[in-house]
Amino acid sequence: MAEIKRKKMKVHSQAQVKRYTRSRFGNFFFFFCLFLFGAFSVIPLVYSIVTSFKPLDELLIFPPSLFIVKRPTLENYLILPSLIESLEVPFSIYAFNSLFVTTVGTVLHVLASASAAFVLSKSKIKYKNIIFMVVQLSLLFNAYTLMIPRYLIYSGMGIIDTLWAYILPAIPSSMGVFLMKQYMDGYVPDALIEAAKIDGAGWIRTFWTIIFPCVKPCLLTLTLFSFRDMWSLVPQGTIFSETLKTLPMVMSTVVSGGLARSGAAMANSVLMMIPPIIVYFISQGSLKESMSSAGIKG
Amino acid sequence: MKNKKIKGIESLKSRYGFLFTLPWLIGVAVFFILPIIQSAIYSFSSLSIEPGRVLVDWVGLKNYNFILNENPQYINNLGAGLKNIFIQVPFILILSLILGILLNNEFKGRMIYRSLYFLPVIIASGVVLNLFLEASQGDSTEIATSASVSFGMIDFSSVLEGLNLPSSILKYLTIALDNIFLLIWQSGIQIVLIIAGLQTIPDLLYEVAHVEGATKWEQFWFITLPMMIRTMLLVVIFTLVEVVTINTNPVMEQGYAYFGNIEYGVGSAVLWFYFVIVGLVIAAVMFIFSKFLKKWG
Repeated sequence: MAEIKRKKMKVHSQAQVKRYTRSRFGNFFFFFCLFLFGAFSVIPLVYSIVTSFKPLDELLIFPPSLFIVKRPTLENYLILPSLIESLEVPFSIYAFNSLFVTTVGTVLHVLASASAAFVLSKSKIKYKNIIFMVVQLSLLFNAYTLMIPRYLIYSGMGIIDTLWAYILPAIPSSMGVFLMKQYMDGYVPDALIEAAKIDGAGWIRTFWTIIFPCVKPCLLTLTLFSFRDMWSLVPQGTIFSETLKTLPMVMSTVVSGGLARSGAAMANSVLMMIPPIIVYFISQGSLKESMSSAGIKG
Repeated sequence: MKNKKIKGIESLKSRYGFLFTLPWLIGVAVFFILPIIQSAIYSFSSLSIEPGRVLVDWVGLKNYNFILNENPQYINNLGAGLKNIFIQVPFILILSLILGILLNNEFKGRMIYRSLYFLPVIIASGVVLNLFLEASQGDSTEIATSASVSFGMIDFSSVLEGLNLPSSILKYLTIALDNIFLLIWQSGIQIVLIIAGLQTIPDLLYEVAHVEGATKWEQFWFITLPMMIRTMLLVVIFTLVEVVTINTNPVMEQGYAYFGNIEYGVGSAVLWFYFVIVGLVIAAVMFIFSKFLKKWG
């Protein structure tokens, strides 16, 4: 009797209280694992932030200390404006180029990927399997591998040394279509689209009002990836004018200067991380909403 | 269009839908398909670059013959590159599956933990990752003595040195630690994808399984895994591509080295031969998964 009662209690408690694992040791192990691996993935970030506050003499200490700065200084950050002053072109132009290229590239990439994935996943057009094979093939080829043939195409199109040389090649990047198509295959039920069709919605309307809210998590993830890639994009030999360069191109030359500038380089890389992180937190905020509101479950 | 007989509103609409793929399709044709075909042609040619144009001389299989028969290093690199795939992909896969499942539990500070794991993804293409890739790439002792001492993994080797371990174990531990970093850093996207997949599994299934008396272990094998098969396919392909094309992959390095020496023909052959083999691996993976998809999906 007692055993049955205990079993009942156990079932009851499992229904009532959220438990991570079955035992106290399990709970400990669970959090320990999460913490350990989490620590592993943050250490590089922490290290670069810590290093950016080190004065020059501490930078030269070997072996370098990971977390401890004896005399933290803002020197590395304060030197950046004076380094920027020495540029030929005002800093604001680089910043504008970066923001323009990143925003336009990201928006166009996400829109093109989502609409292409929608058709590849949900319509019955011919050759769509062949198209999808091509997508997977082109995943393997990165910008560096295709540098020469692409250069010829750019020069044929006359987009060398324009801002389009950043944006246009980024739009059809296959990763977006690949992610989107797989996501739509799995998580956008065909019934939803049929219902829209019966109610008289056309392609554009179905895409905009049905598909978009459904794939919002994937959309946000894609936006984030695209933003990250565009933000740190350094084109291979297609941009020559100083007025068309972006922040990553300029800043890497500004802070290059051997060991003496390594503190400033770290400070720069910490500052350059900020925009993608901001985008991440914004997207996480709206991700929570979309998860609960869109009809994804079930 | 006018001359063709329109079969019905459906086919008209499907043609209209084709327009949706156009922006992307044109882009892919111009920026991917054409260059890919070009680079395939280059791999059978010898290239010389003159101001304003590129001269392409068809040399047949000479480049492939060179890398396969006259360059013993290539076979070694190829072996190492493929070995990387078979070691790293399963490791990343299992690691991200475990972490994804753990992070999908409800507990306090879950968002903070998730952010922790996702941070590397956000900043991965930045300076920091390159430093780590460089550091974890070569022999650690070499890095420790090299000039660029202030960055990278040396912290850990110095900590380990303090433990007075035999040098062979020390070396192994350092390499393992280096790789653990790299592997965790490469698992970020996969973890996100897996969490997204896990959240689409209806709670109902787990409740039923619980009522029927299934253990957590059984629930994992009979609910989580079959429901996740689509996501897992995505994650596997994604990981494969990532591991295959990362800059530090020996074959990629060799190809880039040839590019650097302006030997584009040989460089393209190096990469193409490798990509064809990887393509076969991917096809095999797709085939295996399609069996499971038929069974479960």
